[in-house]
Amino acid sequence: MDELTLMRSFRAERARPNPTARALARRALEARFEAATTAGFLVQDAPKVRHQTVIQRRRLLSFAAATALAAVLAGVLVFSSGPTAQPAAAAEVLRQTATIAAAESGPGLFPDPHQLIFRKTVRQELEEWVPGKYTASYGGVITTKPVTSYGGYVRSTEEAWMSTKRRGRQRIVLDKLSFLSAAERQRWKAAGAPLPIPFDGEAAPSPEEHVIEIRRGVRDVEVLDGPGYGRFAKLPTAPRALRHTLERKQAGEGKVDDGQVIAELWDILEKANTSPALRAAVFNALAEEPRIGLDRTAEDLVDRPGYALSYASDKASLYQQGGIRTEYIFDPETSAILGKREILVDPSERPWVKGIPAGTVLRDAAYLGSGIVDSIHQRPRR
Amino acid sequence: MSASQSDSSAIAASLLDPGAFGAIFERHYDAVHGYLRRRLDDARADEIASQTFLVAFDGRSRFDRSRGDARPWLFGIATNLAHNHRRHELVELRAMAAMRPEAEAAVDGVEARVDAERLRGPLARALADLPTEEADVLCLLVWAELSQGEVADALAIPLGTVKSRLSRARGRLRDALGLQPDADSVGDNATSAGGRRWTS
Repeated sequence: MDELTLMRSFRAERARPNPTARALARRALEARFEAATTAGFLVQDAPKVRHQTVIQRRRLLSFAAATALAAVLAGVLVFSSGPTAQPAAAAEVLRQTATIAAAESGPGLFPDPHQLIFRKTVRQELEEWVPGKYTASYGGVITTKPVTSYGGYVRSTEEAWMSTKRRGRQRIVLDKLSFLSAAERQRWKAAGAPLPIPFDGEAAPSPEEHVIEIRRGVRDVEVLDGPGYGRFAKLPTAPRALRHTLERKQAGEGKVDDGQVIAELWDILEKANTSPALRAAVFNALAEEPRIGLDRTAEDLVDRPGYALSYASDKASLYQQGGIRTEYIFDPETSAILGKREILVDPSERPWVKGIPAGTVLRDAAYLGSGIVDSIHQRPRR
Repeated sequence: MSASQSDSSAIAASLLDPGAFGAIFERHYDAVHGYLRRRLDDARADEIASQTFLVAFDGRSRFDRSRGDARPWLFGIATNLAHNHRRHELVELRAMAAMRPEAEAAVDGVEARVDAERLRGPLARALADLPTEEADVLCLLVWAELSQGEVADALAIPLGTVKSRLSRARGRLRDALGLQPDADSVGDNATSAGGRRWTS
């Protein structure tokens, strides 16, 4: 017998499983699981250093500056002058992307009647919330009586099961709260860390919803009426005809706004069941849009690199708010859309948003993937 | 959660779905708990075993996913947490050393049981006298049944350091127990009674 054999037998009887200790440990761990998905979401101040860098870069890339700078420094040719003028590089990239989109195999995601389209999205929005009352875009809480509200970035993950034939499901989980200042975070914590609706765990579901799970940080409901997905079978796949169709749709709303057309074109790309031919038409139509910018060094909300189309409207419209630039981020190598971002470029257009500098990202979304599933409890295999 | 899913995959999945970490608990709790029970009293072992999985869960994003097996990582956490209770571990061992000899468990046969009974007290004393870093290596190798390479991972030390600490620890135990070097074939690269090979 040697020393290791002796050690192996030493107190060996103590190594037997202990069901009680195990059950208690498991319970403690499960409490931590729940905390991780609910109250344990990350709370921090908004990152300032990186934010400043982004602001500086995006200021440089704001539409007018980007166009002029690119033309002067890089000698980029402009195809033509007048209202349809666009930097050649952006149009060229969009047409190449259209070619890639058209070459995709398959008709797109068209589920059978019993199936659903699943889509996962990460969102981050600058919001202001009055606990137990409502949540609004930052600066959107305007009341006649003083109310206690909190402001910060709300980051969440949404999983949506969509069908036009049957019940769908929407599960949203709060991932992170980031405050604009340490003082704001402290004020919020001192008040008991109240969460914004719909993450407060107390929001009553509407009659059209069937609750799967509602608790602090999580809202998971079976949706009886939508969300659905796009019905695009009748949309033309020729770029000009596509634009005209969208313009005719807006005719009752006065003069057609370019920003609104771009937003509607992007909406088509956002739908999971858009055919390759229609996606190609959208990219070709975007290539014809005037006043559109292109940033080749963009990153989406989850840090995936891509190109960002940008459009800054100098006036408000149905889709495009004044003083805000919208960036549409896509992967030019696959034609996949990655995300959409709204950035404040002119605070004077939104005077009620106090203390928020130009360059601040107001809304950000990253599309993480989609697929066809057979039930609202199934997710696509990766 | 698939039963065949690797620890690494389960930990990766738990970054999005925290509940996926439950698979790690189910696979390894008993081993970690048993290891700690051999080092500490019941209450402390129960507490630290629970803490081990909480600490692991909180730090799961830092787990090196190139390593499929989470055991070295978990035993490393458990060992570090147990250090805070080393004083109690020593008290327990010294109390055992002072107790009347009594066989604790059967080993190879009657003669071995007699040896185990006779040497139980001196072994407890010898373990109590080991430097902590040498005791860690020895306990992880024998009680956690990690290989020498896994012990190196668990303690974040080079393999050579594991070998040298193990060699010193075994020498101290042999001296304390009055055993001859290599009295049996159990050693660095030999097969244990349970069939696990102690190789790096």
